[in-house]
Amino acid sequence: MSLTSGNSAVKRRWVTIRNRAGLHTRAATLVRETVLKHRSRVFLIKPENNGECLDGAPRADATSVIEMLSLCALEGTPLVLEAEGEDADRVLDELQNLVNCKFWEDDFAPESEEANHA
Amino acid sequence: MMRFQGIAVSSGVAIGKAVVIGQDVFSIPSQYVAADAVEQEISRFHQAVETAAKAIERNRDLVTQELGPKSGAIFQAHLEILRDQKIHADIERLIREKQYSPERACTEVLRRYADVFRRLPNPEFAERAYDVMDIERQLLRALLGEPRRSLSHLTSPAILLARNLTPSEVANLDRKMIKGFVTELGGPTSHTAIVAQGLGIPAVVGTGPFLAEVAGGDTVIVDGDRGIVIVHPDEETLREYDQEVRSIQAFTAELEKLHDLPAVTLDGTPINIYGNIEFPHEAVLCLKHGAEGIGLYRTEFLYLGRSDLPSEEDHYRAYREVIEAMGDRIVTIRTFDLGADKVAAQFGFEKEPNPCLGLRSIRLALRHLELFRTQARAILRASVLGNIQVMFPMIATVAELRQAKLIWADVMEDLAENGIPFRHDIPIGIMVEVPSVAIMIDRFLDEVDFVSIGTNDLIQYTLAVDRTNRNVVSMYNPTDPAVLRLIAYTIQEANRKGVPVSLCGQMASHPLYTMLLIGLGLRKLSVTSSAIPEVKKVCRSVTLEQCERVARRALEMENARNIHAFLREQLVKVVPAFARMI
Repeated sequence: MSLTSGNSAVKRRWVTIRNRAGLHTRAATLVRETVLKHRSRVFLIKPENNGECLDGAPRADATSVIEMLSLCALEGTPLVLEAEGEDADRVLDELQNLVNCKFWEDDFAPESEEANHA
Repeated sequence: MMRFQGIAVSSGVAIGKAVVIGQDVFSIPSQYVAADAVEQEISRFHQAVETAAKAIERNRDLVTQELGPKSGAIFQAHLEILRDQKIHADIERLIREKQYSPERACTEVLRRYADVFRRLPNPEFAERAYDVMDIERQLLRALLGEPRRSLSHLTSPAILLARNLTPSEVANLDRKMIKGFVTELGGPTSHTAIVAQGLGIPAVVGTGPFLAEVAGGDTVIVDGDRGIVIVHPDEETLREYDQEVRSIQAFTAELEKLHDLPAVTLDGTPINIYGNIEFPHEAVLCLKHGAEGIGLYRTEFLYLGRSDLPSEEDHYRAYREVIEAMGDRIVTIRTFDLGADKVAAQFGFEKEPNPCLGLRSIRLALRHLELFRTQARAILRASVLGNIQVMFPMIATVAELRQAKLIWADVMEDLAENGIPFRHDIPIGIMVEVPSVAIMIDRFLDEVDFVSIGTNDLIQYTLAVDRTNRNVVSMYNPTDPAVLRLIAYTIQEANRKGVPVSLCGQMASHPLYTMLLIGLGLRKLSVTSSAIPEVKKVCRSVTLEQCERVARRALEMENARNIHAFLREQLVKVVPAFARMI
């Protein structure tokens, strides 16, 4: 837990979880795998009160699936990706893309979804 | 007699003797370890992780094989949590700094995480607490070597009652002996629900506390359609449900017998039933259920879950597999129906504000011809192997159709120049899923070999409703009069011009709409493989005249709800057994 917001090497990105199931186990696993390919330390922060202050907001080590699950990041939840290290920009690019691509889930073929017969 | 209301999560009725499952209680022999044994105990913990991982992997493989990947994925998630470095670090710290025994450390750490989950406001995330508790038990079992209470050796058929079943418990059940599940906890997304559906046995969850009222051996009824559990039923109730079980069994057996029989109305009108598939291996299921061919082969899976684009060979292999499985039966391949957001990574597209109305499907194909040409080449090469036709999705204007056909012809020319064999007369059709096509269908029919109505998008675009949006989903109605009028007109014009027309949306797969569609003049339905017997059952139970009457009346009615109720009433009149299922 050596990161502080005053550290100049810390980079941040704002993203919004877009897949329907939220940041669940499989999605969190993809995040971890992406992070482990890089050297930077990465945290996911769930901002509170419109994110005016990130200190004290719930944060998860992006190498721990269980911590990420504990964030309870549902569809529509804004998250701050925070990385510190020489390849911080690259890992943030990849993570941002992962989140925006909905972790490659949510049927893209509308025909395959169950229609609502209720 | 006592009745408990829970949440119905897996359909059907079961009657049997209760087996009541309490929670595993592990007694932890020692709470602390000697200071000089710390490292040894830590390595014992790591061994336990490996042992537990093996047990979970075994469960995963077993369940995946028997119930499919969706159930198996539960255990993959368990493995991820079991191997979480954060959890390992927490446990090691307790052993090292507080000299806790590994058993106590595991319990303490995992219960803490389970508590965190339990307090989460979202029920689906809160249910992960059960997974964490399951892992705790797996670890304790590995550490203590305690024999598990054997659910795998039941001697007579039983209904399983429990506070909550963990996935590993469900995986190790003796499936032949379990006739139903009831759990006090859990919701519609609980693993018990998913696994019960996979097993096809009735289940009710979330009843609240009732186990205190039941003893092992008591007679219990599980009604997985209404979410009711009855303990100590009186004779009359028992008789009623017994009757119901028999009629469900009889109906299921009846449906199974239909596999080899044709879909023909009582007055001899043949209805062609085709299958919809998403993955190549599903072709076999369609054949098993008696499909005459493949009416919709979705090809999006080829692009999913990879960071590069599929090669021509990837396409070709996937098509060949299906064509070979189907022999000389028709296989209808739909070119990719992807949104730009799905292939964004490969192209670096910017995000679209409104992907449903954006650059997707045929529009994406016409913008990125290399994608389209690769697929076209593979389909054309595969065309010599069997009886295939090709279909373009989401066509909105005649100009688009002409452009797509032009590219198709161009690819053919290429192949011919290079001496690569292909069928020159491969039929080309379009999906009718944008309202503009249904409205102008007469113009389109002059330029295609067949059309297929895709109701899911047609409904969404006609009513301007995103059915994945909870706030408006109630407006998404296949029976909306506007939708029916577009479908009716499309079928009528196609029949008038003698162009083959089918329907491959979800509407075709639900027996509720079968009479209506036949009555509107449709003779070809493309259906999810599992629904083929039900749809066939309707076809074989009606006359053409009956269907036409239903269709005429439905077209006169003024709102979706009334039409839905009317269709249900008519269906139950011809096949009463559907009353329970719809």
